[in-house]
Amino acid sequence: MFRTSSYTIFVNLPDNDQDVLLVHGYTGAYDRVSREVAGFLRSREAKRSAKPLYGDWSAEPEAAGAGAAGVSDATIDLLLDQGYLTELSPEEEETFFAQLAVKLHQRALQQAPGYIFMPTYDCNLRCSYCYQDHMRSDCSFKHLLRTMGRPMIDRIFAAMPRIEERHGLDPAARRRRNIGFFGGEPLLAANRPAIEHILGKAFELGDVDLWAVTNGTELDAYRDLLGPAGIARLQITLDGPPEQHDARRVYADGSGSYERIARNLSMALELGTQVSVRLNVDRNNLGQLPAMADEIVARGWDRRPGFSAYTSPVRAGNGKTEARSTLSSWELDRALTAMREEHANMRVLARPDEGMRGRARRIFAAGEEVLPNLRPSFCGAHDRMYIFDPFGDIYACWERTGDRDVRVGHVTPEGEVELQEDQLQIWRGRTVASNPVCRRCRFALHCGGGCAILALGKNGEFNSNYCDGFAARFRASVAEAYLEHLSGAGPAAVQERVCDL
Amino acid sequence: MKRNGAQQEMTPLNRAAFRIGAGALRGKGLELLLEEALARVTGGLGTGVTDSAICTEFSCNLYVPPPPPVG
Repeated sequence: MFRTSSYTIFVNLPDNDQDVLLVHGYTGAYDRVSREVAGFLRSREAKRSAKPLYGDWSAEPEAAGAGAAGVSDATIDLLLDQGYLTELSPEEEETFFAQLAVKLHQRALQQAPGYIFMPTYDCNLRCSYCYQDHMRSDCSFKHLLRTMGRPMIDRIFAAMPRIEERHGLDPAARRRRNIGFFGGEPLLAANRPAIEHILGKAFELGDVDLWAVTNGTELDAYRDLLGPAGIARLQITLDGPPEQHDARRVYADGSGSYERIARNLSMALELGTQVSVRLNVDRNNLGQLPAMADEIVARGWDRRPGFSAYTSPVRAGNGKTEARSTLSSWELDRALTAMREEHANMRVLARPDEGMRGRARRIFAAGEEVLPNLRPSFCGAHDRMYIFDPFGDIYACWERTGDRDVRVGHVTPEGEVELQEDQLQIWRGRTVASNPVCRRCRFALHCGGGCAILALGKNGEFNSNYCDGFAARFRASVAEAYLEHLSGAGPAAVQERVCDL
Repeated sequence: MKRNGAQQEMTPLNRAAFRIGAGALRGKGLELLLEEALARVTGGLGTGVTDSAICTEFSCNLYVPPPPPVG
């Protein structure tokens, strides 16, 4: 006797009461079925999924036409092939799902590591809302404000082969490495000797992808190091059009930073650097987004091939934030979609779920043979990210840098890596199988379980789910992508986000 | 229970990478089935995982909004 797989996702199509899309949570299947078939599957669900202890799953849409009668043998065979019908008991299926997630994660742990250098925790801006604000405003953290020296850089590069061996890689083998910069502000003019030294060591290793998250204020000091052959990609934050930005992202004397950043951003684009502008959006600046879109168009940035801009919801995180001023990813996505109806230039600002829509569109465009994009964990903090600070401490997630209690290791003066196995296990062991809510969730391998830091903040538990309205966002994204596919629109090139923070 | 010959009941848009049957699970065992499934969802041996962590892109700052305007 067959039952409906616990990991079957039903997607209603707007203005269409005849068809429903099905997506399977671990086989990678996508199908369009009649309402009757969807109803048949509904009638064979073992039980409604348990409500999560934490989080905010949204209800699955109801499907009309319940009942087994009228579904053909051929369709039942197809439903079995695609995984929507199963012979497994709910317990057997959950066990299989969890073990598959663990296997996928184990393989992810063997990927080549990504390295991030934090040359300093210092910054020239004093944005009152920065999560690292205490490092620059509380003198008890003054010891953190030093710049990474050449000996430390040499030690870190000496340590890289040990890390790569740990990932099962031959350190001597030629491979393309990924090295990023983060801070504080990594590209302060005063940091140039350190950055130059890191680049020199990186090029000695062979091919390398270089990128930086920078505030862009002193980018002119790095003019000759930018572009496809150097630091090829930048993320630069603008908090809105000039007046709004200058009220939020200020120097220590209170003056604004917009014009300097804009000038440097134009320079970077002219040099062939890819620039991703990040807009942190809350209810205070949401209404300014059309003006920001107009500003991007007026400056001609959107006509540069390397330019993109995306929105990210501000999170309540450091005790200074009122949760009521923030938006969920779902709320922001819907607000931007509505704004696009009124303001044509809003097309230049990617919505939070653009990546999800883009992946679905690529599947529909390719037709039938796309490998599933399964995410056993949420981000690189759980498999291959290594962040080095000026003291040689290694962290998995930069949100927690500067707190030695949660470092996952450190580099010794001899260039050896000493890992904190307990912390490493905490960070690298978080998957959708490591909490009971995610392992029973039909969306889990599409979502990755959500951000660990946000889960910790919301639930007080690291190994817990952070849903962020994912069910509704996923269903809406798949439905929209399918309708775009039917309308003849091709798949769009979309820049992904790695992190919900 | 079943109706033969129904049209357009189901249109595949993307095929499942693998199928797990109870018979196979009890016959071959979980470990072997997992290995087969893993090979299929990752496109064969040695190709690594799909872009699960999307780590080539930028990570993030934790931003919180500024305090509300005074007055």
